[in-house]
Amino acid sequence: MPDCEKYVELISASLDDALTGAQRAELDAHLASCPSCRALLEDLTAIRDGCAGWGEESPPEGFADRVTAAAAAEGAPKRVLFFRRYRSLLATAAVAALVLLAVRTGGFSALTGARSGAPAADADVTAALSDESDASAQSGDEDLGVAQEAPAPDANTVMGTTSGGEERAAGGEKTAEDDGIPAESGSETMFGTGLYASAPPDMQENALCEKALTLPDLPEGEWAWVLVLTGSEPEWPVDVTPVAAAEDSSAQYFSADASDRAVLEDVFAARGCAPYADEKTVSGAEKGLICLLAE
Amino acid sequence: MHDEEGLVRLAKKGDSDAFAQLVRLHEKRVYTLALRMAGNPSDAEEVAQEAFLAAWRGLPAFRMDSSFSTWVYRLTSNACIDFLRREKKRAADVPLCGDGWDFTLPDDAPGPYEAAERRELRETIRRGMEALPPEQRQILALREFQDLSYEEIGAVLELEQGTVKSRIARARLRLREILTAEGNLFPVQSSKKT
Repeated sequence: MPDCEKYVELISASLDDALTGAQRAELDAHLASCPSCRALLEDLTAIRDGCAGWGEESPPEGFADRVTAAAAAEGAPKRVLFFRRYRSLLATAAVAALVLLAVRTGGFSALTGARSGAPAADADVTAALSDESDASAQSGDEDLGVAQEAPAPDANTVMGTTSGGEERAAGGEKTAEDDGIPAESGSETMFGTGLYASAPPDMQENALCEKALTLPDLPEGEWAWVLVLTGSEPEWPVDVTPVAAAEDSSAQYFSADASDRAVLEDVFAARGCAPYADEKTVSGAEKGLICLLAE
Repeated sequence: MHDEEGLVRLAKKGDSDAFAQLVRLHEKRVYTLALRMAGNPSDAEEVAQEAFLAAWRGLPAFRMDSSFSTWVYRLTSNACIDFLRREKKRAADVPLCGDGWDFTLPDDAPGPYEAAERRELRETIRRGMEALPPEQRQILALREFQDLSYEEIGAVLELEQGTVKSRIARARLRLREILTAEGNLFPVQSSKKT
């Protein structure tokens, strides 16, 4: 019967007691005159009955201990490295300088001082842009954890003032305090508005810093923001085509516009690294670049 | 003693003891979902562990917009899908052994004849489930075995309830087609009808 297709959903929903009174009446009327739908209902009811009562299973003995041990072996959850790329070369240079400075000085604490650190950063801009191998050579150093560039479009802001309120807005719910770092309300940092760091990084994170500075040319105007995933190629649950890839295939760049965002968020959530892929962050990340640490 | 929200807040800051408590609170549901989808205990353990570790890594970013339970379900569900796709690539022609499906009957099980009927029915369903595409197996497992409501499934899979409803219907229809094609759609039911 041609109309039967529309009743399949109603038949299924009837098994779940999810019909309105009107739908119930409509379905009953149809069933009274349609033997094939009655047969379908009978079969689906049998399937439903066969699935009932299986109950919960207990995992093997010691499962929770093994999971906890594996988590402990990984250490505290890694934070996500976060950058935005701006078309302003100066702002990009400033970020590069900050990354290098953090690496060279061997500690984020060196970056949380007063505005007086800015000239030192400026001095490193040229080196950052002209000598990628320098950054590479430093990638094993430490202490740049999560860095989030301020939404400020000019170098002064990147280097300049701090606003704790804007930090929260730019980074979603995260704050330095959430990261276990005492809040320094009212103090100025070289990271400026919206930038903060948290857990001590490791080589992998610094390697990503380097990666963020050596991006391939990405298509202008075709992406709103981009996620960078390092590490081994993941098993993508859906077909999402990278807009670009690093020459050594170590990273892929995915356009994450509205249509792809949910998909990518699922992917990163499953891999435990979706912290900044949220509306609050993304809404201000026009033409930006977001680097996510995969593992 | 912390409630779940308190445990989550501690775990978000890297408290492994709090995380361990969360694992114990949810291990049965997570493992069961993994078992129903993956098909055998060893794979289910691997998938469940993968899901919990993904939670551990992702906790700092967990915004608590949904419950921890819903979030972990989502991670488990995604881990299962990834696993099934890997398995499909690795051994496309090798059917899952299915020895992990628990046919143990509850204490109030009927007599031997009815128990045998039920066992046969479950074996039929198990084979049918394994033949479903991963996404359909996922949504049916959440509905039929985990007994989640449309709303809960929508939260786990981030789907509208209307979409959940239609996908469940399609999955059920597909399962019926598979079982019919095998020629063994519920021999137990058939015998009852006659």
